[in-house]
Amino acid sequence: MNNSKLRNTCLVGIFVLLALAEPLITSRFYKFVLALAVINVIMVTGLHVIFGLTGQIFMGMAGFWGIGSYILALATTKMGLGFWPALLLSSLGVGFMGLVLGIPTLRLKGYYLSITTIGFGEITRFILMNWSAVTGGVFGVFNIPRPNFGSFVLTNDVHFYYFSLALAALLAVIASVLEDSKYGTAFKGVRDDELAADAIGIDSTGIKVMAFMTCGLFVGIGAGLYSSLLTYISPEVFTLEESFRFVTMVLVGGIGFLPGAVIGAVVLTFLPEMLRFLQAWYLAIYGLIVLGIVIYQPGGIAGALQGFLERRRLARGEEKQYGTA
Amino acid sequence: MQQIVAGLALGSIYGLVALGYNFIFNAVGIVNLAQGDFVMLGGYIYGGTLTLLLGLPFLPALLLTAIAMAIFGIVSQRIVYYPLRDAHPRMVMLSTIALGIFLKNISLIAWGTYPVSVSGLFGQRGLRIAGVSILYQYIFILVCVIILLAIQQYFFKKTTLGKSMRAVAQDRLAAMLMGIDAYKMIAITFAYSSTLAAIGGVLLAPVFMVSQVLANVGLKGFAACVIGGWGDITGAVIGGLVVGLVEVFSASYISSVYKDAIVFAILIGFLIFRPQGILGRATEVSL
Repeated sequence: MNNSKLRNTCLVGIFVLLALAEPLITSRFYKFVLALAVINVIMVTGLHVIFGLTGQIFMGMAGFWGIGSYILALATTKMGLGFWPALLLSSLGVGFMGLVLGIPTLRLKGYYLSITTIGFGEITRFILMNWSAVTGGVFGVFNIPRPNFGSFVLTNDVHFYYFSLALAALLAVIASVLEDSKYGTAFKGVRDDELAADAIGIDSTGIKVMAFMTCGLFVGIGAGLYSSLLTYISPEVFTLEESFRFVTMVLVGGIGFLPGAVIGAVVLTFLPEMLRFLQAWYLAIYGLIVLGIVIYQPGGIAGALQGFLERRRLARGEEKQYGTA
Repeated sequence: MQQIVAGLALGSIYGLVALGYNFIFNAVGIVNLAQGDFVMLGGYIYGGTLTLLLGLPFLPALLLTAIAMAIFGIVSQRIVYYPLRDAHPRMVMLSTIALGIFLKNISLIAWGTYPVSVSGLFGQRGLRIAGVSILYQYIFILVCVIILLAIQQYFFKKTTLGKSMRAVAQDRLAAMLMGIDAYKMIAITFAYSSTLAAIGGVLLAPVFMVSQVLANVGLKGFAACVIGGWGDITGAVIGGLVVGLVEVFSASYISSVYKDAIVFAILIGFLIFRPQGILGRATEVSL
């Protein structure tokens, strides 16, 4: 099984499972967490393009997420836009931020890029908190509308869930098509060896800027859905810790393997809620788990899966040999 | 005047943290993104445990903190760097961030959610000259940092251990061929960087209270490295002083809310327009 076939099979399986999971979960709270998980899937699909495919450690996801959420919230509540134009605006707005933020990558690599994006995320949070005239400051924005089809409004959480899941699936398809295109090859080239990529004529800077922009377009949609799901947003959630949680989702899944990132997003949305009873210990343990993954299983879920398939193939091969002997 | 002294004092601490980054960077080509959390941990060990709990006086508390953090530095390099020494630097970066998250949250458990306040040697007393008052603590910080830098200069220029560490930083393979135990030197480098962070934490504890916020000093130290130019010892100190002055002046003349945002904005400006730093001696650093 080649890589993109494995990816498609896994993706179809995961989305079917997510669709079946909704009626199986009975608790209202966990239904809500599941909806959040799907929104995180959308956003992590964006991060997958920058981090998973292009290998740039983007530590400003909370900034993208915050900007997208506020664009949809403000466009619908203050500018009187409908849900759809607002969602488009949120996607394009964050995509544009990606372009603006991507331009510094002309010069920046590795640590410089990460620290710059940390700075971007923190500055965004400061502005959302303190520019009260526009953002409502620490009080946040209320009464954000749900999506509508004509006069049919998705106030029902079940409807909203399947709507988000459909969007997530659509974006996963787009991301997969992109990955299999020549741009996907260029992304991976930059990730694996930037110098070599440059040497064979890939414009690595242009590719990175494009990756940032694509990420922004995706995250904008996820962030818009986030405001719409909650109908209320406030600035204190968009922290550096959240940015790192998104990076961890990709890492847990396996860098460069979209189904892995999707599983990572679901797992890391549920884990904090399920480990609530550990209270303060949770984040300390979470830090240790991430450390353990980086050191012992750097390939994440994808690495484990590939190792398993490889071993099975080897085992089969050996059986055949025994058979002929 | 008050602001200049305060800025220089804070800046010299950022300089220490920046030195910590630089020594590790020179030795192994990675950036320890948990450096700020080491400062926080140093502050907690000194303030929370040794001073408040055990009631030790300043000097023994400082020494014990430094020793504890040196050991901690060796242990942590064994965990976050050594197993990944041949992996892509991005993995080491992630492992140090994860270590930072662990330290922040374990310190919440160990020392509680309330900030620990330490009065230090001088409390809030200050020196009054011509109508302005300068906290003794700030002067003390400056004196300590200057003494420390002098010792460091002597250590790296004159002692065999210091020379071996410099040799490993310059060319690890050549140093190993000369019979230097490079991995031991790297461990010592981590120990030294952690000690610098610890001293920073101890000196800052009376100025700010000790809490998770203290870990932000790590980002200021990183900014100092960029502004001064990576891999440059003098640059790190100058960069630290610049960041300290910018922070204090922007807090008093522009906005105390946005002071950290301003430091970030300047950092990003440097990264884009002058990534080699003020001194600009470092040749193209590929981080």
